[in-house]
Amino acid sequence: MSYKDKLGILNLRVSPNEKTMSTVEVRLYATLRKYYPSLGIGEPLVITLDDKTKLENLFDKLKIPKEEIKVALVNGRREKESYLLEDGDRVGIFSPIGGG
Amino acid sequence: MSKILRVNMTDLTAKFEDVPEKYKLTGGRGLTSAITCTEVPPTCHPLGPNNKVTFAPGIVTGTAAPTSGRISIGGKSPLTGTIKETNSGGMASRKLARLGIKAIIIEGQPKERGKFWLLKVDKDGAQLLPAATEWLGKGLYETYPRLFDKFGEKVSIIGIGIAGEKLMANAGICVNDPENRPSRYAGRGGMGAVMGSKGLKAIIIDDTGSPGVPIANKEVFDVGRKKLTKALQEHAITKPGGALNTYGTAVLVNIINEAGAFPTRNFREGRFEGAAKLSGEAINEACKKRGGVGMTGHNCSVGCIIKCSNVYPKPDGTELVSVQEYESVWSLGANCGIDDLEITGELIRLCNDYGVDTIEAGVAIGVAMEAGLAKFGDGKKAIELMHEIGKGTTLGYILGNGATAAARVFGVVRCPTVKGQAMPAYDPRAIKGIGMTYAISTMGADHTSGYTIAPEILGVSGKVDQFDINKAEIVRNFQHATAFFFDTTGHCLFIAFAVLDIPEGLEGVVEECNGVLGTNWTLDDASRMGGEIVKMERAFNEAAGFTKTDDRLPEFMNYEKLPPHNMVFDVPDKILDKVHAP
Repeated sequence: MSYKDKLGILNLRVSPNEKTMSTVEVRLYATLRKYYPSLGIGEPLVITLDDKTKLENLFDKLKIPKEEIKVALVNGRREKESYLLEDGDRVGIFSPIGGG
Repeated sequence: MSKILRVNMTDLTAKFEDVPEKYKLTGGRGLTSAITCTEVPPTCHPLGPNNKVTFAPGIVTGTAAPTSGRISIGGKSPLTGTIKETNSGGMASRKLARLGIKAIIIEGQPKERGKFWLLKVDKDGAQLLPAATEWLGKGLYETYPRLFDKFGEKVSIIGIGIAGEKLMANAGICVNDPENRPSRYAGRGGMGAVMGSKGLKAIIIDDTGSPGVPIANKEVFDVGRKKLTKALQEHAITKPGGALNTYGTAVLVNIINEAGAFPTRNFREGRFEGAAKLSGEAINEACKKRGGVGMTGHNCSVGCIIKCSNVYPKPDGTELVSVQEYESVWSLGANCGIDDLEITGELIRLCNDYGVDTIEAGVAIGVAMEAGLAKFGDGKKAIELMHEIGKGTTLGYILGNGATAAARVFGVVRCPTVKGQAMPAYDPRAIKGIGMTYAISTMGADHTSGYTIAPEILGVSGKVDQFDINKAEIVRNFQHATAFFFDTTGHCLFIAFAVLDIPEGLEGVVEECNGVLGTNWTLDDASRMGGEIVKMERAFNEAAGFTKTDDRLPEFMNYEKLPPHNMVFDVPDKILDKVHAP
């Protein structure tokens, strides 16, 4: 019997209505680094979020103006603002950049 | 009235010719490819007497058009055996254009191998001068100052290094920057070896008293120039204080790494644990922290608005090298498992000194590491391997001939090349469109022939899914647009970031051309002309023996999964073949 099932029998399992948390790693790059100047380049900010947090909510929580964000990559893929973050996600957020 | 300068290295003559009608309305790559397709037998030996190397400024080069100082250098490549246009910034193109020189064609071959000349070009004409021994067989950081000493600080110098003198297939062609460093390169494809095979060490260009570039319709030109200038000054990537100006091209390191497409340790993985240390942000920080001569926002040519170059300082603030570019810190850094800008800086400096392309050199060293000649991450050993090239040892010749040669000699299967040219800093398995571009480009694996990274990753020119395989149309459109809008006009490719997002900017490019030439082109005309350039290049390659089986990526990318996405390159052959044959 699993630990969670044992807890269920003992009525100690967390109620389904209670929120679970997700931990995500956020890396800010280029001009966005100015919002977190103490972070090294590529050093992640580890953030705990309520479950079912959208990417755009994360931007708000980080207090980064949305108009400065050009690309957000989650686990190496470009995702829309409505993307629902999951536990363990790796997020990279970029201002407009280019090169060759 | 512009002219073509034809230099015959067999007869040692330099003559000016009228520009034939069919070349009057083109420049840059449009012109070098047209001349190559007309005058070079596709089956010739690239280092033999029948190949030619042609230098051409772009249509608007030498005018007040912003960020237009590029030079195109073309011929048959000794690295790939295909047609080649290799492109550089620096100080030379503007001077050639202002002297009224539409193109310089170097043909023939001296009877004695190992003898070299200089070509001096100024308002009074052109002459070949024997190259003094003191200018040969030395690093360009020594030779360029001697040449500037001899001919004056205000000239521009297009030259080859030891690699070009020794006819190594990765020899590039160097152009001086505004401070006269031997640091800008028409690197790809080994055209430095072609120049070397013709005994031409350098072209010295003095534009004192030059007539300038005639403009047929000044009003139209000014409208176009202003539209483009506005676009460049407004766009977040190209504007003063924008991404490129602040961080340089290596600002790409972190996003390509984050996207899982940053080729690491000879294309084994797509994410490098040391990437952040090689990034544009790190370069910017080092420049600020160390002070001295360190700077970002450095320009490689006159009249550039973007100024994306840098001068990287040592800890004491003196100069290590200009310039640490994205491609170079990748190829000599992550691709070799090296995470140290002091090491990549030295490796880049050696590439500049010996006269080789940084991309090809880094991939060759990566292959050498794969073969066990050095451990991945061993920066000290990588520097020793670079020195072999300068010394012209047997190992040096192997490495100086590029990644394919090294892989052949050392039996390395994981050889990331197409048509013999090394892939640049984006792995095809994580970004399918650039992978298709590498496969079908007329020049071998080449990201500048159609920079689909813009929509695939950067959100410029729209957005497409990096993993989507149905990209034949977008890849084709980029191939055609690039061939004309950037490679033929003389504009730097980086104006693309602005003009692909801001339509008035793109219109401005066409209006500039109409102003200079007196033509009436539309955007559609420009795309069509780009398509014609690509078509003529493909015809050359076909006649040289290339078939569609050469428009493929190396086999290992079809079965070796690339972490972190763990994907292979799965674009079917029939989609690849649709790019050029819809």
